[in-house]
This record gives sequence, C-alpha cells and structure tokens, in this order.
Amino acid sequence: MNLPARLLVAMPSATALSMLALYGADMAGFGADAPPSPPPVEEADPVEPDTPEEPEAEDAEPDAEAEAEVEDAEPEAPPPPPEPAPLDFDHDAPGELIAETAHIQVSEGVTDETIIAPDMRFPFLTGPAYANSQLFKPLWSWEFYPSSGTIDGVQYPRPQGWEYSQENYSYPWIDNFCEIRTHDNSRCGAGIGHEGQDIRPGACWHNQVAVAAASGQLRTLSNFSVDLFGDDGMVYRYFHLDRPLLVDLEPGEWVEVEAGDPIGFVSNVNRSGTPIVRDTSIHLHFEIWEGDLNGHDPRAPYSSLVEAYRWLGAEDPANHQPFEDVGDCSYPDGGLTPTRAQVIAALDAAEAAEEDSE
Amino acid sequence: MAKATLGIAVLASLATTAAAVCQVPTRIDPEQLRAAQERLQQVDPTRFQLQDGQLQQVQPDAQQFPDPGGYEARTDNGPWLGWVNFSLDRELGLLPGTRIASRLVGTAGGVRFGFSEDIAPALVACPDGGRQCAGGAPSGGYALRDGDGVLRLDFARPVFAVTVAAAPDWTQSPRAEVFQIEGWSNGDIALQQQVAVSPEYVTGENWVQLTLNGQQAQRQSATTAATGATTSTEFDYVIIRAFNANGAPINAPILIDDLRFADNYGRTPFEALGPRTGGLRDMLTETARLRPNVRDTGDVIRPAGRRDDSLFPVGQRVRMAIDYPAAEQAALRQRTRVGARLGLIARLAGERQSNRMSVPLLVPLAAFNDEDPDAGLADGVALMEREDFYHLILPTELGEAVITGTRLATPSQHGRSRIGQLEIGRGYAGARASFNLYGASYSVRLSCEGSDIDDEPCNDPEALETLLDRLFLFMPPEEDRR
Repeated sequence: MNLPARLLVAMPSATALSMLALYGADMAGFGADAPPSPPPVEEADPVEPDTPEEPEAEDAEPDAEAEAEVEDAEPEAPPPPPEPAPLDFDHDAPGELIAETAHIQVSEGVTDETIIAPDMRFPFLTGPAYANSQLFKPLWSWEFYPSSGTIDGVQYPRPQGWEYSQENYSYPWIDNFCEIRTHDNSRCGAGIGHEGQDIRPGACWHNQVAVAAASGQLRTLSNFSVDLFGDDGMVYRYFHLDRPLLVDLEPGEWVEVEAGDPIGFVSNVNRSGTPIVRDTSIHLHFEIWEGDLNGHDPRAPYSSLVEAYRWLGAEDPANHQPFEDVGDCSYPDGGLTPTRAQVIAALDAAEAAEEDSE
Repeated sequence: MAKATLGIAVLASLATTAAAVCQVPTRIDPEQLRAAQERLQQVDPTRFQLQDGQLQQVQPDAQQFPDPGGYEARTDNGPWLGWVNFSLDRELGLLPGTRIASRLVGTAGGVRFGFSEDIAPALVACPDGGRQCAGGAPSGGYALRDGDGVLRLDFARPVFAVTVAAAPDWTQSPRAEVFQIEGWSNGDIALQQQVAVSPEYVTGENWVQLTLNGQQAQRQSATTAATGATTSTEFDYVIIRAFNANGAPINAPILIDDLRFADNYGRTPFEALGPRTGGLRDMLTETARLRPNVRDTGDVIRPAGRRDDSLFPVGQRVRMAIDYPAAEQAALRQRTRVGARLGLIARLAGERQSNRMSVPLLVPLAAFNDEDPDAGLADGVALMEREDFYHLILPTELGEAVITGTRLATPSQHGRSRIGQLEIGRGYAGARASFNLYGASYSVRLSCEGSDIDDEPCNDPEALETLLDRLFLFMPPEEDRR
C-alpha cells in the first residue's frame, strides 16, 4: 500500500512521516495497478548559480575599522518571496448546474456567490480535484439501470458511460448544490435538492486523501460520514471516506485535528460502510453547515471550495493538472474496486506468505 | 383537505368509543368487545384510505400486524421489545387463547397484566407460555378508575425501560391529578416517576407521558419524586396509579394510551429522552413575533467584501443578539407546563472552561445524569461548547442525534426570512430540523446507519419531531449572557 509520492509534498512533515511508517516507503504508485501519474512537469534547464565575484584584495593588511563596521552592519534581509498567485482553473459559476438537473421547474441552484468559509482549507490534500456531479455524469449504463434516473416520476438526463470517463476527471468545475434529490433543502428553489458538493479526485482510484478543512473536533456519526466540528463554529461534513480512516477515531470519540490533517481516503463507501459498485462513484460529498438568522443548516459550499482550491493550487500548480489517464474502475468482473483496507489486507497477506516461505 | 377532515372525524369517533367503554364497570366483556371492534373496524383510519374522494378499505393488518394477535415485531433493531396500547380491537388479541406467530416468540419481553381486586381480572395472562402481546395504533385506553385501581404489569423478563402515556378525563375530574408509575425490582421500588397534571396543562394534546429509565435508576432524581434506595436498574413489574392533588383516590378515569418496554437497549429511545415539553412550537411563534429583536444583530466579526484576489465576495459574519429575557420566560413556561422542578440555568462542564458558552442550551433531559443538569452529562453524551456555539451529541434508537446551537451567522443574500419557522425534513444522512429561537440558531439532526435511508425512521421528520418535543431550554448563567 502506498501513496503517490507527490501527495506527500504538501503534507505536514510529521503526518507524512507517520503515513510513510504506516504504508511503507514505497509510495510512488499502487504497483501493477498504479494510479495514473500526472503529466510530467518539464524541468527547467539547470542554471548555474550566480557566483559572487571575489573582491579584489586591494590591501593585504586587514582594515580593523572597516571590519568593525561590517560586523555592526545589519545584514541585508533577503527580499521576500513573491506571493504565489492563485490557481487559475476553469469553473462554472455558482448555482449553474448541469442543465435540467436542478428540478423539472427550476433550472438554477444557489446563485449567491458569497463565500461562506473564506478561511477554509481545501478538503483534499492536493489537486487535482473535480467538483461536479456524481449522479449526472457518466457512472453506469442505462442498460443496467434504466429507471435509476427517475426522481419523483421525472426522468433526468444521465449520460451513458462509466465512472472512469475522462469527462468526470476534467475541468470545468460544476456546482451541484441543489441538484435534484429527494432530500428536503429549503435553500433550493424546488424545496428539495442536494445538500453538498460532490468532488472527485484526480483519478478513478482511492488515492486522494481528504484533510481537515479547519481546526476542530472530528467525530464519526455513521458508517459513511465524518463530521468536523470546527473551532470556527462551522460544521464540515465528509461522506464516503474509506474505512478505516487515517485518524484513530473510534465511534463516540472526539479527535482534535488541525486544518490540513489527513482524515481518510476519498472512496465510494456508501451508507452500508462498504464500497458499492454502480451506486456511487469515488468522490467526496462535502457539506458546510453554518447559521443564519433562520437557523443552522447546510449552505452552498461551491464558492468557498473554488476559493480554497485556487489557493491550494497557488502552492503547487503542477499538482492540479488533469491526469492523462484517469485509471480504470470499470469493474470488469462485476466485483468491487478495492479499497484501501482491502489493499492493506492483501499486502499483509502477501507479506505473511513471504515470511512463511523464508 | 378531505383526508384531513376524515382524520378528524375518525379521531373524534375513536375518542367517543374509548370514553364510552371506560364508563362500564366491567371493562372486558366479550360481547361489548366484539361490538366495539366492529365499530372500530369501520372507522379505524389504518383500515381505510381515501381514493378519489371515496373510502376504500385496505388490509393494513397484512402489512403492519402479520399476526391477528396484534403483535408488531420490531425489525429495525430498535430498543423497544414490545408495546401495549390497550385499544379495544387489539385487546381481543390479548385475550387468552390468542397466539402470535411462532416466529415472533422470543422477540418481545412479554407482559402479564394484574389488577386490583375491584376490577375484574379478565385480562390475566398476556402473554404466558409462549403468548406475547403488544399493540398497534394508539387509540382507546385502559381506565384507572380510582385510587385503588392500580394497574400492575409484570414482565416476562426484567426490563430496563418503560414508558407509558396517559390522558386524564377532565370532563369527570376538573381538578388536578397526579399520575404515577413505579418500577419494582426484587420486591422493592427501584424508581418512581410522577407528574401533576391539571386542565391548565395545555399542549394541544391532552396527555402526559412518564418514563422509567432503569439505567438511571440508581441516581437521585432532581426532577421527580424518587422514593427509597434503588437496588437495581431493571424492573420486574411496574405499577401505575392515579391520585388527586391531595393524594386521595380519584374517581375519574385516566386513560392509558400506550406502554412500551425494553430490556436490551444500548441507546436511549426517544420516548426515554425525557418528558415532552410541547413548548417548541410556542417558542417559535414567539420568536417570529420578536423578529425585530432577532434581526438586531450584535457584533460584526467578519466584514463582508471582496478580499484581495478573491473571485467572490466574502460573506459578512455576525454574532447574533439573543433575547435572553424572552428566552428565560419561555423556559419558565416549559417547566410550568410539564410540572418539572428544573433549574433554569445550566453551566455545563465543557472542554474549555475559559470559553463560557452564551447560547441558551436546547437539550433533552436524558442528556444529563438522572435528568439533572447539575449531575453532568450522561454516559455516551458528548458536548463541544465554545463561547458562541455548542454541539451536543447523544445516542438514540435512531442513530446519533446532533443538536447544534449557535449565535454565529453568515446571512444569505437571497434567502427569504423564515424566522420562527421550523424547517424540518429528510436529509442526506438523516432527518434534520433547523430553526431560530430568540436570536440563536439551532439544528437537530439524526445520523442514519442503514444502507438505504429513504424509508428509515431515522430519516422520518415525524420521528425527529418526537425528539424536538423533548427539548428543554436552559439559560446560560447571568455573567455569560453577552
């Protein structure tokens, strides 16, 4: 078991070390079924470092006075590094949903562009990430589920295809708060709709690490959800994270986390606590709960996520480019795509077998 | 509208039936039962549905009660083993000789009825020797007819929790009454709960509920009249009594609508979360009336505007002003309404003592040890509190419930005002409710664990309302009200 090495770049050093210890030093890929790598970043030609010119020795005798002046002089501070520019990536406007997926009579989501959580850390360890829809993007064939796109008697468009379709793993981002669902959501024009934002990882694989969007207290509330009760008063909810989590979090316990701390792998674990083929894709359903004068409920997170992603990308834009190959999660044998836990178990078994042979 | 009218008519008819039966001295008469059942068969709303304006008879028993004995199995791993509602049609199923399906044997704790001598003990063995009992839709009732008319329910095996609902008949007893339930264990009273009710007790529903929670039986109750030392957390039987306000026997009946019992719950059933307050709706109405105060926001803790290089404007975040006097008056009314001797102020031991929470705490009494805020949080209950918000998590039979109260708000630019309205519905992971009370915003939500939550009780707004109706308002100490 391993993590793409690039994931460690932006990881806090202590966390990276602990994850290295947990998963072993080989974190460059998933072996034979390794996830795709990002396109190689062209390395700049090596540049010879500037060599300061040797001052000419005009006088062999040391100038004590001048030497003292030099000692007393404040060393000139190096110029501050330039502020990183935020990532420029393609994203649709807040509230602009995939056509005809809001509701039969409502075409928009929440068009209020207000950033609810301006100080939020993007909930993925690194890019790329693709906020879009997991329900109205290619996921499975109508041949298998001809009626699954029908909600309240209305059949909504769902393109045929598979989860590993390249269009699922590419920009632009698309808001899907208020996308048609049977859940009540008074913030949506139809009174029902999706309560969060679906975010896919860079590839169709369990390789993306979800991190704490803020400092606070972490708690699991069900098989497929983790709640982060932020010190900022907001509640950040994570769904579909693989089990076990990356944090030692037993049901009924709190764990204190700092913003950016790894929580778990983005997965397709559903309510049963197991990955489900053709039920949901590998993605993070992310919610932000915040109060207003009316109450306390899920708010449209899209603007906050766009802003957080821009600044995450400012650190390392290369990590936000789409992969050339998003992997294959087509479940050719109808089985489950392996989760992190399953891979660990397989590796443990292989290791044990190797020890036995020795 | 037609359906609602029908429902009202049906309820009225059922109430009439129950009241009439309660006046007969010998309650269980086979002929009367048959006649009453025939009538109930015609008006029981569960047996009909309205289609195109016409009543159509349906066969709910085939779905709800697989056995004509009237026992409904719990298939959702809920904590209640069974329940008895004393409705007439169901009592036929409780009579000796009626058997439930063999597959249900052993899934219910069972209960045996006993009565005082002046009531004919016609119903004596339910169940015994493999017969078990429970009821269905709440209707009808059993009458405690006087002070000696105690009702005793023996359980086939000890139970941890018993909850019983009763409705006094004020037409015959206009005075205050005391309704009481005792849990007995090894021949001693393990726990006793009682509540004084009067015609002024108005919650929109003329009934009260008492719950014995055996897991709390060894602690001194601050809200109820506990008697003697407790020796066990399980009850072999319970005794239900009714008195007048002076402790003398009463002559008017109290109808027992529903009784449930459990012996294996690890989670707190909603009915055991504490008494119903019936006050949330009233508080919402008042909050709507006080809307100007709610809008009078306090400090701006993050100004609105566009930050450097940000694509979108940052929302203004404010600390909402809380109408403490109005909230305190509402809390007082809650206590008066349910006859609870509860303090108004809760100073809970949070994780950061320096951050003294300023938001009124909305919480069921079961969150505390022995329903006493001063006794600390009950096992399994977690609290995160800061100066401006709190999150309280408690286990329930329908998954963990999260109650959040906050005075931090990022107002929406386009949202319509619904101050004082209860937003309740099905959510992505469970039923949830959102509302504002006196300036503080709250959410109450459940976390489903099942694989398909669409039809699960944890995603049922009506189920969530049973929790909402058990939330008490506690004020922060004076020095923390900012």
